[in-house]
Amino acid sequence: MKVAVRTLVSLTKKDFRVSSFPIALLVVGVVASYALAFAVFSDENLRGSQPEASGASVAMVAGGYFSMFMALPMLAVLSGTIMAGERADESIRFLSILPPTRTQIFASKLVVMIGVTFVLGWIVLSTIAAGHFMGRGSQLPSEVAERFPSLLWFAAAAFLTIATGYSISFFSTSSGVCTLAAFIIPVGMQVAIAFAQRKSSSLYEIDSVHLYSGVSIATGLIMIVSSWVCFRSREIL
Amino acid sequence: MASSVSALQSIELSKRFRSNLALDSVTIRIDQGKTVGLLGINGAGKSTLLKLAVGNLRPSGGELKILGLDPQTMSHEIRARVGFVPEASQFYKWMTVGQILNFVRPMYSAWDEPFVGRLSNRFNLDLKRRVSHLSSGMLAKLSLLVALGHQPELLILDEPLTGMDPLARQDFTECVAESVFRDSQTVLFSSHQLDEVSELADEVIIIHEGRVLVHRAVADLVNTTRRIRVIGENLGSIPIQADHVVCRRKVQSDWIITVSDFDPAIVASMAEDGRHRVSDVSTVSLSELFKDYVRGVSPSEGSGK
Repeated sequence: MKVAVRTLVSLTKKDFRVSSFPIALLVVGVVASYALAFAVFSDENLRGSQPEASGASVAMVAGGYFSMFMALPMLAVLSGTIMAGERADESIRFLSILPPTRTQIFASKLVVMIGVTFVLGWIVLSTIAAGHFMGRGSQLPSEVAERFPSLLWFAAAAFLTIATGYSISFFSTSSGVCTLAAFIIPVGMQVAIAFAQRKSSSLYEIDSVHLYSGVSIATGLIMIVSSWVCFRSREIL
Repeated sequence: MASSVSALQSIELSKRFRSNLALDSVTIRIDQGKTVGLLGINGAGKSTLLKLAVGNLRPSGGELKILGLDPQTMSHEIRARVGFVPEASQFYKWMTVGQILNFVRPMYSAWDEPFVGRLSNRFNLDLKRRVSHLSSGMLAKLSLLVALGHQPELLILDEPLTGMDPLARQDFTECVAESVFRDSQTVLFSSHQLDEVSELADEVIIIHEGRVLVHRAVADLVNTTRRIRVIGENLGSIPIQADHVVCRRKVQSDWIITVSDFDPAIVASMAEDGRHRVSDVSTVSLSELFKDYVRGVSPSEGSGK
């Protein structure tokens, strides 16, 4: 058991290092989003409309939502690279002669992707909550938040992005193809749901966000389980 | 290290890649503590057998047991007890030698740090050097270091000497020999370097087109195999059991017959019947013997066994 935990830690450290470029991109994207939000929602710009709301409070809320938008393509890069890169440069063959089980190899990569997403989510949620708290005398932070999709939508989109990039990498060694798929499929899912709701009157009765979230999470789970089954049974030539 | 559990045992083991039968009903048993050379031309099925042994491939038929374990269901346990040196090392190129060792160390409960330190010094492996800056010989040494670091019960080497200069090859071979001597490890190695095979191996397995042609002790094989030169255009029937004829081929106006389990009485009986005249009987090196076994089953080589 001790060796199993040490192995998982060693694999996870390696996967963080392998994914350092997409993680750096993600950090830059998030920082840029907040910088943009602070530039747009400065006190100077707000003073005329709702002076009781501080620029910082609105910027924190807006920056949180901006950064979630920015994070989706970055998560596509991360998930599309983490397995495909290792298969493309054949370093997966090195792992295949070492003791880790396929499940440990699979899990360490999931730990990295889900870990990065959770840290991002924690930062974003904290700043949004702090923004709402700081601007509690004003309606402006809430008005800003209402202009963006809900947090549930972002969580579902992030999950589907990660699941798609990772799963596709079991069929393609091209990081580019996996990244593109991880970006297109969640967007395509949203378009398809919007189209289906236009066509079907009964679907209008379901809230679009809940429908998207449910379908995305179910699809993502199926993809992850399928790729795990595929990876466990795959031969390494 | 003698044990009732064999290091490797296969029964009617087959592996098919679509229409290509890479291994065809291979039945072998390698006892623990033996050093076994696996010989075969490219595409003979050597690497397939070795990849099956560590569970990277799944057999199409038959049974395979490594240290008594099934690689299909217990490949993780097998890889923890086996050291594998692949033909081409695929380390993480961005890692340094030290980082590679730090990466693999936690995966083994029996990692021997002092031994790894001594061996890396002996191999002149700079721990701070990036893997991408290592020569193919140094990469092979790093592979061996990783494979030996946990004192494996079975060491599998897949064409480890390919691309190495003679000095590196000698260093590598000596290290394997010392390791075997010290820990009574079982070693299974495939190679094209027949000199090293004859130097290291207790037993040899010759494999061709997925089938095992011979599996015997090296000394026994070399001592009991002879080449007989028979004068005459027409060979006709010769008083040698068909399954003892490894290969026969025509060289100018004579026939050269390679015979396993050679019995001197054969030559006497050929002289007696008067139809054949034996001009020479010679011993055969492992290298020539390997070629004759392969010629013997290759129609294009004119074996006509």
